[in-house]
Amino acid sequence: MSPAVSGASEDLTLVVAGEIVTELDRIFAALAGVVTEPDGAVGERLFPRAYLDPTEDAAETIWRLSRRDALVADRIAAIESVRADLAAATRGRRGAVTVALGDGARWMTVCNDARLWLGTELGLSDEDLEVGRGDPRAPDYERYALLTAVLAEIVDAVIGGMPEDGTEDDDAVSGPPG
Amino acid sequence: MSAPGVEEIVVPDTVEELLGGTDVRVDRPWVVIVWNDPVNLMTYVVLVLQKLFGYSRAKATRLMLQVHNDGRAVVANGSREKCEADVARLHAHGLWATMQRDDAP
Repeated sequence: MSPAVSGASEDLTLVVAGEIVTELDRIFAALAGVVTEPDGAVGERLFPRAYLDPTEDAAETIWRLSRRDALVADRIAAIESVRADLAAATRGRRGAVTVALGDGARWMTVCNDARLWLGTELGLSDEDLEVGRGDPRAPDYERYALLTAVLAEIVDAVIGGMPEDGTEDDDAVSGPPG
Repeated sequence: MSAPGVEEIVVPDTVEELLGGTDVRVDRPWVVIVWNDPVNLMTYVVLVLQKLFGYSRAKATRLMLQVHNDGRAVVANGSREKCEADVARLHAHGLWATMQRDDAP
């Protein structure tokens, strides 16, 4: 059963197989540990620098000191909220489980954070990654694919409920720098 | 030559001289850049740009494609403080964003 999202914009629901709920909860529990103690390339991807210019290192340090704790706390709160949604899921016929997603915002950030973590560990690039059955990366790749399917469903549902017109002037920002 | 008892005042020729070599650049506008990465879904990037900056679907899509095709795009600009807040919001949504002065290479 492929993940399916439906419902009104503030009341989205995800319908998946029961074992998917268990797998998502396992992934999100592990993500909480990664977010709390990010390391190496994963840490750099989840918490990138704001300033690339090395002459702005002092500003970067101040920015990190003032923002990092809030970023970590928000991510942990989102993970806990999403895991609570999973715990409250209702079982239906033929093993299908319905999960209430609210407006989907926290689900999107948590699924995306988990994809950033797994995608970085898998070494994803713009080239297609080929992972065979015997490849030790296969389990993580399957988790990544599951998260991609769930996230894509939620994004489609949310963006479908958003107005196409913006509130900002379309000419407010110009092209690329340099 | 100066008159007795009158302190001579030397007027500097330039602002830099006046401030003793201090960086006198005004706080020029900053730009927020989103960089391409192989993980974020294209539709998700469009959604985040619409949600955070109030852009139309067409503009958010244009910026997303610029990121995808050119490797980066300027998605916002303004003061240092505003851009720091924008970068933090983009990071909270998982986008790879940085900021720099708008005349930086």
